[in-house]
Amino acid sequence: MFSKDLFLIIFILAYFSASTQDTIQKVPLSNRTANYSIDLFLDTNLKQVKANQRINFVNPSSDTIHTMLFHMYYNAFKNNQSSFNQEADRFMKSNTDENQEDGQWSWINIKKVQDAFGNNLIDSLHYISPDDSNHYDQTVLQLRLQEPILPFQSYQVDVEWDSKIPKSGVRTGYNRNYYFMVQWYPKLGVYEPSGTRFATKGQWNCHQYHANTEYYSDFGVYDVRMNVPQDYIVAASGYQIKQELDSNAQRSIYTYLAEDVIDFAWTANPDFIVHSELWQGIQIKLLVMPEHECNKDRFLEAAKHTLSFFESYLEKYPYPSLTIVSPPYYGLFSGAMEYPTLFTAPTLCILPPNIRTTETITMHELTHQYFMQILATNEQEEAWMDEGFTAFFEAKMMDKFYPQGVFNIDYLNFNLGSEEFRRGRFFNAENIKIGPMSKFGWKFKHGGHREIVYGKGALFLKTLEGLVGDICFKKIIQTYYKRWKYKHPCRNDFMAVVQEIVPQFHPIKSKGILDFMHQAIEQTVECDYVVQTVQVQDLEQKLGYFEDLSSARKAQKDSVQIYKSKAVFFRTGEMIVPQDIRLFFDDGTTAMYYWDGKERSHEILYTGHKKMLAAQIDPYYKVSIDKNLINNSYTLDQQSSGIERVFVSFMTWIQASMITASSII
Amino acid sequence: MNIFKAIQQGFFKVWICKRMVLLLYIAIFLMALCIAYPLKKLLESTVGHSLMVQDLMKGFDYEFFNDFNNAYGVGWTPIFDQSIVVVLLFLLLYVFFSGGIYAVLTQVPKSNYRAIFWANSAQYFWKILRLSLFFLVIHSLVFALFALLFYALVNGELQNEGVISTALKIVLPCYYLVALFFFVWQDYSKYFLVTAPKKWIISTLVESFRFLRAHLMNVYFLYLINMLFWGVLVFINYRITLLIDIESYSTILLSFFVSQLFLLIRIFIKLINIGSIVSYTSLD
Ligand SMILES: [Zn+2]
Repeated sequence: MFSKDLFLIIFILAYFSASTQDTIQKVPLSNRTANYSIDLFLDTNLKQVKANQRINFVNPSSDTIHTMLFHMYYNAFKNNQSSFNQEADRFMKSNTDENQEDGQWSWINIKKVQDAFGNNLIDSLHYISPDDSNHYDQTVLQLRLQEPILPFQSYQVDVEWDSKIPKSGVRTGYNRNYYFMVQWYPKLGVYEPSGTRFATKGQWNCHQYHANTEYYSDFGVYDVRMNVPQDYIVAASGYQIKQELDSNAQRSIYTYLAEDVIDFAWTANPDFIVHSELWQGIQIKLLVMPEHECNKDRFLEAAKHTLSFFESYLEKYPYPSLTIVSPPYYGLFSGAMEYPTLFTAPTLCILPPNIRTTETITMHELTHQYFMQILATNEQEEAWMDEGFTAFFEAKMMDKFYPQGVFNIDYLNFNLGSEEFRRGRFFNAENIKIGPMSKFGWKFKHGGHREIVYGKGALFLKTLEGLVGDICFKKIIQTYYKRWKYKHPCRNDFMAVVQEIVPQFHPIKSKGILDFMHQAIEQTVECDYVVQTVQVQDLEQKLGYFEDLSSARKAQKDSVQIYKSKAVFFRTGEMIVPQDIRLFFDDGTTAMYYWDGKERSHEILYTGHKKMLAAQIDPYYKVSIDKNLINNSYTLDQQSSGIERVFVSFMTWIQASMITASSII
Repeated sequence: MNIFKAIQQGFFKVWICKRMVLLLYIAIFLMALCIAYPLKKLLESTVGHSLMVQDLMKGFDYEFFNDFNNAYGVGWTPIFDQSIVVVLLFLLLYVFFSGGIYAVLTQVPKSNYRAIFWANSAQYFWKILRLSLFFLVIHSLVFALFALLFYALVNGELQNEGVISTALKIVLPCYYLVALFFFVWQDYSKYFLVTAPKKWIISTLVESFRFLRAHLMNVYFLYLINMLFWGVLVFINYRITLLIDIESYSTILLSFFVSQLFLLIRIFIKLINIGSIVSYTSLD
């Protein structure tokens, strides 16, 4: 048996043996568990990739490992019985016949596998379906090893493979001469040692490719050489080391090095225009089609805002390069997607400047560099931990840097803020209780995944920020980041940080806040608090005989009127959230109360010279997860001015519409 | 130039018969009230005691309307249904008024103004209704034709979205010019229908078509000028609306009066268009 010290020595040796190649990062940022060296040839005629790939895996545990699991994503498009296609039948139906015949079916196939000991392992491969036992699904490949991987030891395997690229696939593929290559190679799952996330014993975490979800992989170094036709412009994750020309074959070979990343994506197209600039030590590259150059500055400005924001909020962007790929119109299949140091952000020049999707997408996808690329959560199991965090920060930054909102027009001061837009998208969902945020992505069989992971995830964080305050919240995120960067945190790890930090700032209220967190993440309860009514009673002066029969009390002219005021509050949702309450009085003063929010109904009584005019729950809009903010207040008298304003506008529109409609008569 | 003279005469005709403008305005006002008032009541009964109502003073509030829609949105349905019915009723009413409007603007009577208006409204109601239905079909067909043309231009996989905007730039003006002809034809047909009644609508259509063929450029130009008036008016209305900062009841009232004034002018311009058609045809 190995002693702990021996483990450590072996681990250090293994680590150095894994990192003897060219480096950019002076000090490794991550443990570099899964390292790849790939030589690929892009055949643009056959729409195929042929590659030789060396994988250097470092066992991160004290376990002896006998198998390796690989993601074979392109097999999701191999036939219509794959789990991906069964789940994404909407996509299948919308895809054209031409695409179905002409290259929608695609695949990835391993032709040769050999370990460092010279063993040919091709017969030790077989597909498994750990999630749904779908035997037609070939997106997870198991390799049984002849020589086991010893604790903390590195293991090398060489793989020769080829693949057929999907035409206008989902997120990846080609169309015309645009190639967007993601999840394109045999990629290792994540070996989770006991104690990592939910693992009670060492295990591979390697889910099938599902329609809703995509990522979970380990950190490592990618050293990739891409052989493409000479006129193609290539960009990829990491940093371009060199570009060689093979003029005889009319080919270019691009070499990229990406360190401490969880994945490697690349794109190729002869028509890209490349804008490159060095900004605060980061090489920002924008690949854009000529017809989309109009929005060049919008991309770059939004990217710089995001980088600055996170530099002050968390940490300076740690990689030397950042690539923004704005796909052509016919390449919109690649969507708005995030990959290490590279993301796609579609844009259209026909969109007017008051529609800020270019900025929103740039901020969103760049934020993913922190949430999921660096804090490498499991997107397949807990998508809210990247999408929720990202949507939250995207909205925060948009509202800060673009206060006019994601969309605005001058008429009626229409201004759609990013946060309220996100909130709306959640509450407009068909079923906001369809599943907890902690539910695995592919188990949202009847929709609602996006609304829960983006919408509820962001709303949960916004509410948490409201309840604990900006400073405490920032400390939570910073601690979470510092503790878990370049690792694989799960919700328990985040909740542990919240549990640790919140009592330092809110010793009394912390229990209510932590209870809220558990309800929001693990349950499907909805939140709705209501101010049911405000009532005021004039207390009559006591007149007549009371204790003393000798003289009757008479009305006193100068006496001050006393009012008995009552505000009644309901908790109509199941979620319990601590609430602030503000009461408004007729002398212009206000009073604040705290309610733990637990009872189904609650009242505040006030007797005195002041008359209560209104009561408001959550006056500072901390609890944006409350599904109806309108009933969070109640005024003694009807509020008519705002309604009159709507009435007058509505009336005018109807009149104008009638006059316009009469033109057809 | 007959056109400008026609517009000038059209203006004077409408000015003399301005009670007709008022009648149309009142009809539109009352019918719009039938739709808007229930909305006011719905808002008062559901959210009238919320402090969030104050946010509506600054204009459109997405959060308010979204929450309102989710919590009380069921209240929209009857209002929406009712609004469709009321607008359809208004269109019928306008069909009814059309005979009277054309007759009054043709005759510009010194006396028996009301009698001529109501008598001609009643007399030509069914004919103008049939004419309107005929043109409704024509307008729909023209629209469908250009929609198909647009679809054909952008169908299939596009090189870039510029194809869509280019297609729009081609299709929209063409549609505008072609559709305009049918609107013009419709208006002139109403004139001939009222001034030279025939047994069959088709005879009126032929007669007006012949007239248009003989005066195509002028009638087009006349219509375009009237459209231009309308466009300028809508633009001025929009700019003035932006200038009014609504903060109190008095500013709500001010904006209401301003918008009503513009609506009144829009009706006025609408009738000037008819007046100028009548004048142009009679000048000819
Ligand atoms: Zn995202």
